[in-house]
Amino acid sequence: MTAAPPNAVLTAFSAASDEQAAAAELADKLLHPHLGFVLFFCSVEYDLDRLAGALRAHFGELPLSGCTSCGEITARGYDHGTIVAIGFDRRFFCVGRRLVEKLDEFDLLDAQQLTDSLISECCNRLAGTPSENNTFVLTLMDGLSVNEEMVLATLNSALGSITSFGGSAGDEYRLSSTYVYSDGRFCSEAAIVIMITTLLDFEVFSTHHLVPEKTKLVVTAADPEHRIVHELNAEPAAVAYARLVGVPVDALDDAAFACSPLAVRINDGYYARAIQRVNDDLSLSFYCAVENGIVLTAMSTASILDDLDTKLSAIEERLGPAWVTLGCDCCLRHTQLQAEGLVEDASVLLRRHGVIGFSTYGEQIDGMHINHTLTGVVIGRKNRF
Amino acid sequence: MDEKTVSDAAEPPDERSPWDLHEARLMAENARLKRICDALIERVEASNMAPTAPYAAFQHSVVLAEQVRERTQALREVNKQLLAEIEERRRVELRLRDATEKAEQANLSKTRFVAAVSHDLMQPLNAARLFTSALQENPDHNTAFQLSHISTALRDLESLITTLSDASKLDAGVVTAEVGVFPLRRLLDVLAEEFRQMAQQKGLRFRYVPTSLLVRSDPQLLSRIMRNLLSNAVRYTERGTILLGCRRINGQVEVMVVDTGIGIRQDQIGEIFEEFKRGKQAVRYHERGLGLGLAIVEKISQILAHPLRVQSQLGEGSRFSLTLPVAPPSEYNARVMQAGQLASQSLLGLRVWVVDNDEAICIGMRTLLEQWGCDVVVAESLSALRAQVDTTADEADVLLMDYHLDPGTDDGITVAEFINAGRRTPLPVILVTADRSAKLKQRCAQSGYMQVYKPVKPLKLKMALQQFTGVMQIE
Repeated sequence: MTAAPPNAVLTAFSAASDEQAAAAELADKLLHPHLGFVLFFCSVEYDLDRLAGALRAHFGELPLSGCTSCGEITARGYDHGTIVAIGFDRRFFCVGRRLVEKLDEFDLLDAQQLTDSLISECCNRLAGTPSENNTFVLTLMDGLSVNEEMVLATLNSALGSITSFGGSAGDEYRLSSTYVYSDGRFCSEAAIVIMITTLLDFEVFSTHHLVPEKTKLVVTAADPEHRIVHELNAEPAAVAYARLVGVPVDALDDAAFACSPLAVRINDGYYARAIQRVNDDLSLSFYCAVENGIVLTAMSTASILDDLDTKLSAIEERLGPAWVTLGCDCCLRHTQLQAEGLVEDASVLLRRHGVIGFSTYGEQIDGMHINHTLTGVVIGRKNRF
Repeated sequence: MDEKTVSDAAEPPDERSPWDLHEARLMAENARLKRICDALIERVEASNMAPTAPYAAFQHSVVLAEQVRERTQALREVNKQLLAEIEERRRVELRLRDATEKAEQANLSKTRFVAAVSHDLMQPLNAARLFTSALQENPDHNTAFQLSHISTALRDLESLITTLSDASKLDAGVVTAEVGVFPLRRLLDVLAEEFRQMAQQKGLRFRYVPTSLLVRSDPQLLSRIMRNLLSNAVRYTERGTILLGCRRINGQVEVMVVDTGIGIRQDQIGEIFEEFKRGKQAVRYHERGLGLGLAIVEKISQILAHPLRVQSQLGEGSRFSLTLPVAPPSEYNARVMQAGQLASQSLLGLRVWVVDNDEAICIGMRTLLEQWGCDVVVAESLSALRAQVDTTADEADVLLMDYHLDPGTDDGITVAEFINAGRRTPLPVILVTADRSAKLKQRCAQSGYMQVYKPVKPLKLKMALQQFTGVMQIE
């Protein structure tokens, strides 16, 4: 066998605003006798209870996981107000999934039990014992829970060498509530851990387009619990940041956050800390962990498109053309592209590389919670056997 | 918004002197730097603690991921190297196993071979011994009959040893073809006559279809092939006919030996050319044979580049054929030295010095050479020779030198060189040896010595000595 048949991975999306119609459209495109698992990302414009009911009605007992998004990536490229889904053929993918609800209580013991049970569920059914060679783990988390770092670090310890990646659920920049979907309902303050063992070749990746500048800002007052930075360089954070960007404080918006990111340097790497909003007290809320005393480096943005194309082309060179690329794309990347007027160009690229996914409030890879990246998995057409 | 407005917003308006204002600004700046400093200190200190806070957990994950990435890379490298090494070792092991298998196979066949050889050599030896003791006990009774049996037994022995020697020479790759042009008939006629008698003794018909064609081959090696094929044919045929025939095909001649014998099973046709292997049917037939015959045939046919073909039907018979290149008559340069002519020539007066450490051979040589009219001095060693003649000054025509002298003493070539070194004109040397190695051949060629192989055939020796009378006459 040199390539998987066409239904090893099926993708579908619906732009229908009616929940029943959207679910019906997905079911129509995805359902087949060997369908084993459906992963979806949906807009928060849907009435989530009605959507859950519609999905239950159309997919029955079939395992479904998903989350809300800050925008979807469908077969059209960047999209909004839609639901997009990937159907996995059980002859090629063995999928186990767990819902984690009390995120702040998730400890190493839980992580170990969760990992063990997933491994035994995926074991010996398809591609042999799950290992880093045939298995990856996808995590979807409530993007406003502020628990990603602790949960991810804990989970990563238990997963060992198995690669994990994922994204934080979004809500179209409303910043009120984000949800993950499991077993017929949407939940907040929760995470889904999905283990996928497959016969197909795959490669997990994470890429960004940021370049460090000279300017450094020191966090001099912070509320780590809530990811709030009160002061940068002993000034109100928004004031110091606005001066860096070169705009008045009241002009700070998502586009500014997208185009003038901050990052921490750890060893030789720069890890973006995306700004979520300016608070009334001139403090800044972030999408990821901050701490008093950390040094933030001002970053400039290179071309998202060049970086994306280079990265995915290199992977496809190794794996063959992608069946599907599951992408968790930072919401600020879309915002930056919007500001640059490049959304349509980006959509062309995303289509060419078969990317299906969503705009996140944060990406996750190997226990790290990061921003401003496209993180995901390329599932190649070459068969590993 | 610039720094000034920020400071102004942070500080209450002041109406004091510019100096005071300046000082206040410095104080504010100082306070800000102190705050930054404190934050950094706090961070530095916290970074040494266990990662319990979210940012620390993140930082921990980053460091971990980087370490994992680096180690994975390092491991991947090591793994690649190991895999390469394993692959190399596997290949070496495979080769070793292959070699071991071959060695074991060879060892096994050598063991079988030694057993076969011992058995085969013992038979004629026993016969010879029996007849010899009969002769000793009763010297006058039926001497001619017993002597002829001893002679037969010794001939058998010689032929076995020659076969062995041939096989080992072929194995060592020292045999090369000395190709010439000659009438194929001259070679085949002799063989036909010889094997006709053998066949008739067994009650078989023998047909011979001669040819007048000239061929390009090595007559000695070709003869050995034909002998092997013919003796096999006679050996493995119980009734019917043996055919030795030639036919011309496309400028070549095919010489074939066809029998109506036991034949060879199709699946064994490839194997019969292996050393010490005889066809399943053949094994029953024949007690005295080393299973080397066809192996020798095949090797020689390769050396001669004469394609060898076998066709056989089990129980019906076999057909072995050899294809030789035909030569045009213009290439045939007849220079036939008749053995009879040679034998009649006299070696009268040829002065021969013989050195051989075997007393019996010394006596035999003296008898033979004196029969031919030679003037003979025989010695068992160099010192024995020097006791009889002055090797530096006395006249002689040829030195007949045994190669293997007593163990621990110099070999024949060294002795000959010693003798010649002391002479004004060096003596021609004929080296008598059983050593057929290329190395010795080369040494002889370098010194200009002739070689005569043991067991010494009187006619060959005579031919060799004849040369020196020739030289003598020319001078």
